[in-house]
Amino acid sequence: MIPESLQGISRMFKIKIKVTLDSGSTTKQGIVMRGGKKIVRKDEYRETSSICLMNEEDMKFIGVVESGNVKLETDVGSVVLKVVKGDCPRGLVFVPKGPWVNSVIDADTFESGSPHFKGMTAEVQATDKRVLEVDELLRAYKPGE
Amino acid sequence: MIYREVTCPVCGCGCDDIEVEVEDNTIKNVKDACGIGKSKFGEIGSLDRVLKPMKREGKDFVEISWGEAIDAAAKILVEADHPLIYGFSENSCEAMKVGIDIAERIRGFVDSQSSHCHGLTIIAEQRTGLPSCTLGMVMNYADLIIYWGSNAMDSHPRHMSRFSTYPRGIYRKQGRRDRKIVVLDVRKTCTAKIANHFIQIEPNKDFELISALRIALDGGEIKQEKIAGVTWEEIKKLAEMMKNCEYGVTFVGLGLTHSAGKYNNIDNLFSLAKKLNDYTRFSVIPMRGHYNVAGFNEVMTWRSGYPFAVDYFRGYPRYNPGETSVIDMLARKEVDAMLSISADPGAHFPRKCVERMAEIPLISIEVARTPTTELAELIIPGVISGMESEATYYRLDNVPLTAKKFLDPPFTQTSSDEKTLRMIYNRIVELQEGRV
Repeated sequence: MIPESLQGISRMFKIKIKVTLDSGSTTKQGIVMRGGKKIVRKDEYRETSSICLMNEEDMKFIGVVESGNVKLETDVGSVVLKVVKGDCPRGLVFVPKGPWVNSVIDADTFESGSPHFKGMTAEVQATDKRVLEVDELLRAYKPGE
Repeated sequence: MIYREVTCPVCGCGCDDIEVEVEDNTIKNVKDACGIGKSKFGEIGSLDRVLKPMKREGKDFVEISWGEAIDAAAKILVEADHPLIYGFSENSCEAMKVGIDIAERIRGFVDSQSSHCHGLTIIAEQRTGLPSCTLGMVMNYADLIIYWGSNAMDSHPRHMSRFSTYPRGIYRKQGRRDRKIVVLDVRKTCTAKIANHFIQIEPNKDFELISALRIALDGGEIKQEKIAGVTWEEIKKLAEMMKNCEYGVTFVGLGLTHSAGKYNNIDNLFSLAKKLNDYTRFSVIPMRGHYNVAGFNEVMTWRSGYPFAVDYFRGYPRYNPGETSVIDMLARKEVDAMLSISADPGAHFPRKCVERMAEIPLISIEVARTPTTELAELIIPGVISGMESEATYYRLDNVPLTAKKFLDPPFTQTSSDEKTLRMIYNRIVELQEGRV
């Protein structure tokens, strides 16, 4: 157990932990995705897809509370996500599939055709930055427009 | 008017028992569909519905005529050196055939979502063979259901209630009480919460666990205390449960194909199922995600001899997943134009692939605006297969079925994605033969 008093210190020193990144489907996100609402209801898309399910002990360790934001970083890049307490074992985070998590997924398929959508190594730390909207994420891909 | 036995074109379950109430060509009520299915029926009237073809001009899109859009799409594809035709998992088999015809005609490259989902299961099928059965057999015979790396409650919400867990079958008259449900996953998912047994595996260690199960079946011993985070005692218990069941089925999810080991995990699982058939009846069924993703593998196989990731650049079909698969081709920047149909690669591809998509001319045939349409040069309205046009589709157990049409599309220029693709194909032929 991590004492409450140490959580602020973890946050102050921006303590990072190494985690295994798992991405996949959720019903809530599927309802937004399949209903053709990704752009018109971008707030719903953000709320259902830019979340990071974490173990409660891991949350305490990096000093983040439920609905706080974390930076998820891999060799490919980083993305800010909202934390949700989930049934994950320590050292595992789950993010619903979508443009947020895919911006940190490596395209290397190990000559199989499919990337590591599950099982990539990542680092998580608390952050004060906000979660980007889907159009802001896309602007990074087409900056000239 | 009430339409009964309507098909839900969302996941691989392809539920064909939906009731839809239609009034003035709009949906008033949907019965018996899951939350995701109901949402899909709502897509028909989505505020984001693409109703007219659009072309990018700077930051914005401007409306163009259907003739201009078909001409622009054909020109992009004809002028490219190595164009990519991608998508199809939510289209009819008829539309897939025309899409493959386009790829062959322009010596392009064709692939679908199966490439980065259960394509690896297909590779394992080619190596080991698929010990499978239909969902009807699961419902009537199976007494042991295993979900391995699959969270069916979230990805296929009616799978357990229609086919595997709750329905009463010929030999499973008490439904749920006649069956044991085992879930193997890296985290305690919604599916795990309603299972009889939940076995938590360490991430990327499925191959080790399957191998240990094979050893346990052969009566071997392992000195190691835990394998993949599971105790040897627990593994032996599971092996006994598998051996002693009357009819076992493993539903395999993307947890195995998307993690380390890739198709070797599935290959090992198929070998385990084959071994179990020495003692009892045991099958494996992949949990295909989209309602007609299995159909693409069928159509692609009878058209080219290969199930997915086919490259026509040399004038004949070439298949080498890892080289000719969509993710690899985009990441290596080998693709110089792309047509995406009923797919949203902009939201579901890794960063490097989306970066390439943003650089090249991208044609998006979509029902509603998505991250892909926002990156596209050209947007062409899509028709919802199975709702606004009739469709032949393959359920996740590779059973071909027909989806009925119950509404007209909100435009008159095309009546199906098959017709839209046929218009592009005909224009490509005209351009190539100089009949401009």
